[in-house]
Amino acid sequence: MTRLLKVSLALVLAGVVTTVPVLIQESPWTFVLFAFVAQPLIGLGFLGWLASAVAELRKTGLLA
Amino acid sequence: MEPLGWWGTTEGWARAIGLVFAGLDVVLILSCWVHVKRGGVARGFRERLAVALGLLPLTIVFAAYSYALPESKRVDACGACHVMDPFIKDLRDPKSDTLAALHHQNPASKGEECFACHSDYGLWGDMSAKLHGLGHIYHLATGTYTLPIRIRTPFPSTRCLSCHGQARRYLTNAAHADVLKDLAAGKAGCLDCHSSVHPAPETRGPAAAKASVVPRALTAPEKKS
Repeated sequence: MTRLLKVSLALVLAGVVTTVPVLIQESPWTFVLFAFVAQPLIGLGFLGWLASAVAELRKTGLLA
Repeated sequence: MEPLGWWGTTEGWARAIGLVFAGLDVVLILSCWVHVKRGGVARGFRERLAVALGLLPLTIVFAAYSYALPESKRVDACGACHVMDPFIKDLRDPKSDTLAALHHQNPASKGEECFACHSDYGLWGDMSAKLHGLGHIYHLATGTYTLPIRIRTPFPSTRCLSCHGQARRYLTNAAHADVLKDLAAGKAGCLDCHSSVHPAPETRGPAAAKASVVPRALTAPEKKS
């Protein structure tokens, strides 16, 4: 679980950092970076966090 | 120029909120990383995780879209690619009498004239224009384009008529009387008569695209003495 959480944190961190250029200066290139790199990274990190939360709930018996 | 007293635009606020939240999220993620590395679960750690990996990233993505999508419709966004420089230069030339320059300098669509004329109406019109824009970026990045840049398909007059179709000047113009029905039916085109839309293709070839310098200062309103 810890490893999955670390991967999720790294993915979301990378996603947020690659979102910053489009917020500083919108251009076709920064928008493509945001849409095709940042968003998938954030999405994968988010799913990883959900998976780790479900795994923890199962481990504690709160989720069957 | 915005009137004095405005508290910024929606896009400006979205941009500021996105940047502040991004900074906050980086700090939160790093603090969560330290906790995970130590192996201990501190009080409120799970809540912090939910904010760092769930709430803040979703808000940042929403803010980025709220800022970037409207900005990507602006003339500056279309002019970000150097092959468009001859078009942008003409657009901002006070002496130019092309339709593009007249629409931009009046201004017809508050700085979104490229997008307004090169997208169709409705949700699919916007989406289609954006998808074509992605195609343009691909062609620019891979160098798979030819100069001078030309429109891929004939320009449909419905795009002109969506603004001009109900205008009194258009409806009462004697020159339009005989072709109003044909124009509405798509049997005649606005550009059949109004043909000077952009600079002529021979002036926007490879040399023009490379040599062109966009005079941004020309967009500033002239001072009256």
